[in-house]
Amino acid sequence: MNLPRRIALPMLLSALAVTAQTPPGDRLASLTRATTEIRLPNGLQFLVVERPQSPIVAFHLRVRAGLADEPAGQTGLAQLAIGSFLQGSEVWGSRNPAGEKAAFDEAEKLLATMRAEQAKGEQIDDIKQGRLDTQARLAYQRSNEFTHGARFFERVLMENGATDFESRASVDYSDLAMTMPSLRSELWFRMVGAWLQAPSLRYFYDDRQRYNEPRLRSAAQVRMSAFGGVFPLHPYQALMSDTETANVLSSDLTAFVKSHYVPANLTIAIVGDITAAEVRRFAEQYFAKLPSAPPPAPRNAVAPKVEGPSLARVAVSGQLPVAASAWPRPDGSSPDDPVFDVLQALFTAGPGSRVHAELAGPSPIVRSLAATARYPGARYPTLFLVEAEPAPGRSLEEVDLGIQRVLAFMKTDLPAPEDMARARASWRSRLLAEARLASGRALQLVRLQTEYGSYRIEDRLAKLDAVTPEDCRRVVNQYLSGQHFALYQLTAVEGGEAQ
Amino acid sequence: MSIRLLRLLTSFTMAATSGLLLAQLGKPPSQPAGGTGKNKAPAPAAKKAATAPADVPDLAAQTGDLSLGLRFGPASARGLRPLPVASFTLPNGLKVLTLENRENPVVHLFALVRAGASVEPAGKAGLASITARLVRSSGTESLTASALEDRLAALGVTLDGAAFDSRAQFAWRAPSDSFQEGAAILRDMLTAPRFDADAFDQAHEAAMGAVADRNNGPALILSRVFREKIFGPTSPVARQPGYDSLEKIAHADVVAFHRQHYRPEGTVIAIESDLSAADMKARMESLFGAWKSAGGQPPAAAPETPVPAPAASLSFADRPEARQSAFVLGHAGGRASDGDFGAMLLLCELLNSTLPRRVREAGGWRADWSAGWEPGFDRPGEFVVRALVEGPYTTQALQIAKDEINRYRTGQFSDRDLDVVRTGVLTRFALRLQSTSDQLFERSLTEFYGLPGDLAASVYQALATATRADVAKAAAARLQAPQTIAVLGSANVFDKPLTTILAKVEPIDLTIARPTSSKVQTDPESLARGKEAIAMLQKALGGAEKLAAIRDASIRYEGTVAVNGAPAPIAVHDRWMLGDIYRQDQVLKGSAPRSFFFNGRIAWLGVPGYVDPMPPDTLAQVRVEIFRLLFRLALSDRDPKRQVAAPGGNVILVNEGDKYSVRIHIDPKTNLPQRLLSRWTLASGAVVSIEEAFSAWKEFDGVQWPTHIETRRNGRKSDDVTVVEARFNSGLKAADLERKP
Repeated sequence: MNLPRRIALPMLLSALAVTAQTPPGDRLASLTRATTEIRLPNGLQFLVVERPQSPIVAFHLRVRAGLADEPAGQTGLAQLAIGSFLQGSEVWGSRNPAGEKAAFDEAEKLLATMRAEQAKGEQIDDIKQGRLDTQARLAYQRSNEFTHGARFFERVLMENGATDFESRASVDYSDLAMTMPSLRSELWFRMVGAWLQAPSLRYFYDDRQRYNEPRLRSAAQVRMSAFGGVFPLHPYQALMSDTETANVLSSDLTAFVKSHYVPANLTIAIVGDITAAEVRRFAEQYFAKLPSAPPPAPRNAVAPKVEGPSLARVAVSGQLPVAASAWPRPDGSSPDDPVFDVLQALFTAGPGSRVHAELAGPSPIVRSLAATARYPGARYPTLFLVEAEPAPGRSLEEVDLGIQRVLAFMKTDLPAPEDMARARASWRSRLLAEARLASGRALQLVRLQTEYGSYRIEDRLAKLDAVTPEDCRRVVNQYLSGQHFALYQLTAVEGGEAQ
Repeated sequence: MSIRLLRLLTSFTMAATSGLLLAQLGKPPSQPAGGTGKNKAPAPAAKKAATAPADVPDLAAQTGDLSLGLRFGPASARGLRPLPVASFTLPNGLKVLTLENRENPVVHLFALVRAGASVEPAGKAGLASITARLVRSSGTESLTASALEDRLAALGVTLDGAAFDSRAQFAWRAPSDSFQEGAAILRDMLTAPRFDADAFDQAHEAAMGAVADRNNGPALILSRVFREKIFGPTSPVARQPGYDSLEKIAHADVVAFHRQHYRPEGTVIAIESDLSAADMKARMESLFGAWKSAGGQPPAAAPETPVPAPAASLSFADRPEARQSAFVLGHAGGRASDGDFGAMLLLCELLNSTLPRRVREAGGWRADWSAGWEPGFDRPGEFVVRALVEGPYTTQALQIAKDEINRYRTGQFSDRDLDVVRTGVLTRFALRLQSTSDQLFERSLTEFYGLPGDLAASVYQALATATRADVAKAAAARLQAPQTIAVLGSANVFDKPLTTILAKVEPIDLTIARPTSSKVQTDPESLARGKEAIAMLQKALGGAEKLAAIRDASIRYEGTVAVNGAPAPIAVHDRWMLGDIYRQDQVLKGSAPRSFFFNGRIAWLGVPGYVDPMPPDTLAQVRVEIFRLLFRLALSDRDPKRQVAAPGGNVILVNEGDKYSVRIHIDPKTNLPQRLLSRWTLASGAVVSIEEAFSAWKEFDGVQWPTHIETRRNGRKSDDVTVVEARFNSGLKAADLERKP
């Protein structure tokens, strides 16, 4: 998910150059010139940056499927899918794939019978249930005996010096990232190719248990759950509830992978001591056989709406007060999308900017201010979020009113040229910092491609730079002037008083 | 009551790192996701392969081959590529390395100056650090300290500066577009720093504060003791600034040290940018060409302090409250240029892989290990095994470490053992040096110390190619039987006494000699003036009788507190009742709420659902808080245990024996306190100093109270808070203060 970028106002300038020093023909395009795009006939896209200096390669695979793509009642499915990589593929990790599958299928059959029995409601035969349960467990254990142990690919990674491994499902996407010694980079192609070709259900029930962690643990997540009412009949509605992998069946996992993990729905970035020619050769060898299939159709989404009571209060123990305000906005494909990014930058443009003067000047109303253009994601209609911590002695109501005042002048006045210049400098500085390390550049490439439609950094900059002050005013009037949803996160100083 | 946020005096302080990337390999990186004990040997080759059906497509899959049937060339087939560095020396002796990088338009610049601790004058340990700090932050002739920070921020420049044992080091980074102006500022900082007296006072106070912090945390204590033992207490590597050495350092010393040691000859500057070598050369000539040494002839290189002959020793500090023990074990090591550097890194990886295994075999108690070969560039480094273990297993763990070292010393390991660790250590080595700027920094160090420019690449090759015989040979030559050991833990829970490891156990001295400047003034004249001054203070705060009638106080603050140097939002509620019942509740962003309670007999600190006795050093601070509650402090003339003096200069000194002393700076216009400086001594002898600046006074229930308070702790910016509510005599109840969270 796009985490809010929280920047304490007084420190903001550290990240950006105020003077508009950006030369024409942007220097950042040098990053794109060093990138090669490879596309296989099945639609699979590879983005390659050769950095031969040090013998490592960073790999980042992104699937355009995340928590928002989980069918109703199957929360946790996206994490189970991306996490299944560590168990190996149908072939790798098994001593006897046929034997393993037969035993696993038998366990599934017994569990299906159990569920059918349970569906009978009050007439459940407990003795029969117990027997089925025992038989299913035994069959599951038997299937495990045909394997080379749990988490086979994890052991392959350890043995071969891989590091910085991550498998994570976020709101809109699922990511698999790691860094390998360049000498062994073919291993990545062999592992990932085999897994995408035929993922394994091995140790499914152990993983289901493993990922059955409550999603609503962090304060940010508790806060997110309060936004639930804004998303009726919308894929993001599901994010607002807890994870219950217990409801996920192995057949759900198979179906999810089959429909979402298709070449046209994947982007792979590879940065490090490997040539584009090598990538092409390995890609053809290990990925060309993946059948092409259309990416799944987007789910229906009713645009988020704010109606009825639009203020929620939550108390989070041990957290300081925060006022969060959200306005519905269109998804990331909207032509107005870059305007929201510029508004985000204007909200956090730091000392000297008009927003800063209004909210954090000599008699400050906020201590920190963060804006998130796409919250919680952007593949579907979403929210523009502003979060602020009150300055000492200020109430959450005062903060809310302060933000309303900011929007009021944004509706009538054009942003100052210096504020636009600050915003411009801030995203350049951030993009440069991201690109320094191999893993950072790989993540940046997949993000640009999947979230903004082009891996070319200059395309992103061109869109942002093309936003005019008039666009900002128009979008504020169009989207940020209707009713908004406000969330006050309360706290109590004395331990134990907050709930 | 004024605010100093109570803290658990456990330390976040980090020991200064050497900056030597190569040496940091002993620390294992983040592991692939989840779980523990994953790195098992591969599953036994398919015993049941004969029963496997014919549809298994690949023997490698069937056998669980962890290379998936691929065969890779030797690790030496890939390595670090030579950096295409251009170098030149300006006529003034400044050595410049340049590297062109057309991919990423960011400039990285590293400046290394021969101004480390090894060239400090005798008895003035700490001078190199104070000077480097002031070069970094005191400003330039044309920019004050705060104008400098603003300008660097506007240019997008980040800059760190610090002194190590044999160099001062400045790392600078900026977008290409800001290069010219940003580099000119750096030049001015290095060649003509502002060095004003205020900045010196702050840096000096911070250095004094660091002395107080030096016993915070086992890592700091153990590494200090370890280095003193192996290098001798006067070696620049081991010696540390104390109150005695810092009190000898004056502003003029910093100016003189800078004149003598910040000079172009001997200095190395390395730059990576998207400019061509020729372009960069022209710019560097114009930027730094006019830099001239001001201090006469370059000082002769300090003679290297000889390393004492290895001798077995065991130092110990008893920590009766500790559940875990921490120890270090090792001896002097080698230099980065030694041919067996790579072999010794591999050896430490072997130790890191087998020490946890030995613990599992011994019963599987909790132990964290880290073995490292940490070479020096211009001096011998260290071989050290660090451990954190469950208290009862301390001597067992020490014995395991000794046995393992001995096993490797006598060559008892296999080729397979070596292969298992080799791939991981190579990746981590490559990862540390993955960007060209990381490599350029490493390259600048080799240039500075006169080592071969391809050092990193050759160490990589050595890691890739060292055979079992090479590692065994290095181990036999390098690992020594007489080891230096230092232990912190609770002796009464140890499985066996430490004397079973070594007959003679020496105590670790954790006392810190007190600074002489905290001694209290007592001449009769200043005592008489003190009476007058405090009477005026009482009047300004609301009148002596008004203050004396205060039975309880409740103050709420909101603001920020420095956590690891960065401001973190905090909300605090302080409550006090007559009889010195005191409670503070804190909510710090990102932590569980904490409460501190003390009533003269009982002292605890709690988080929701859990209460612990208050650690002694925290209790010491609570006692100071009570001592210096403003309305109580202002009545110090009524307390026979306290002494009030006014030495002049609008200052009132209040002290209670030599336990507490407070210095109040009075605003002559209002007679209200402007600043309050408190010092107190911890059990260890360390002195803590807190300085508060008060402003925005308002009246609450007839009492004047500051509503804005900025705090410096041991010379460093700490808290910045606003009073949002102050109430006196509101009828607090002891039961509310005592309630556990």
